[in-house]
Amino acid sequence: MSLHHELLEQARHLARRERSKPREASLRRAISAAALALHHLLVHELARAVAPGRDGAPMRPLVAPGVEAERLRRVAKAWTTGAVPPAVRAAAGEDPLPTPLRRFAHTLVTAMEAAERAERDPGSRFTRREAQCHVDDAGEAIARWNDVRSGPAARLFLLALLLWDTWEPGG
Amino acid sequence: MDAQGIERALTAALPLPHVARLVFELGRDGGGQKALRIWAVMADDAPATVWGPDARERIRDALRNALRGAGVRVWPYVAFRTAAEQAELDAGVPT
Repeated sequence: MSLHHELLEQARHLARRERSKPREASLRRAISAAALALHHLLVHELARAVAPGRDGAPMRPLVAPGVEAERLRRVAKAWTTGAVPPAVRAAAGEDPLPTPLRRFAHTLVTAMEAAERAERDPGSRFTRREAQCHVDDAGEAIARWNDVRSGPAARLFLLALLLWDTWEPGG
Repeated sequence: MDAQGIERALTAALPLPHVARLVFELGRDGGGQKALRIWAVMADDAPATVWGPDARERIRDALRNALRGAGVRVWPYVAFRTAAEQAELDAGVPT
């Protein structure tokens, strides 16, 4: 099983761990694990796109440092709103923003924000249903990615994770 | 836009299927940008189907469109809770 699927499975387990009253730690870790699953999905896919042998495993440690959280957030926001630079759109040659990919990007933005609060804001409060929704959304996003992963739009998205700062300085 | 304006914009988005009320707060996200966090509080008797990703995405879309139409330029983050859960939070019951 891939790391991102393991993380998603862990998130599901944590979100429903305590039968009656969920522990705050379980809900926070569930939300965090769901976001981490999406992060590692992208590392996996980027490595695989560069060097497909052994499903990209040898390449993952080399690409992982390039998937930087703040740039990931900016790329995902841009893909959600369609704010892709005209030069990139033109170079892509076809629609770089199919709906499944835009929804994936939106889920990524939402997941990252929720995880940051879960990990760093002791004042935030989370409920079981809220955590389960974040986990379900991460699972849905992974499925949505699988629908587009072999196409040029997905490859462009992966490239943006590394090159966004040169494509859109300050953006 | 201030909190009152946002509240008017969100109120204008209602009614939404099985949404009992909306709770929101203004803040900043992890990237330091202004953020609007919204919780769609779902009726306790809402059918299971409203908790599916597609149904919730439709609610998110409706809220985003309402905010955009009102000129709110803050990124909205929409999460979902049950009415019972929100009532516990409002009552200060430890979660």
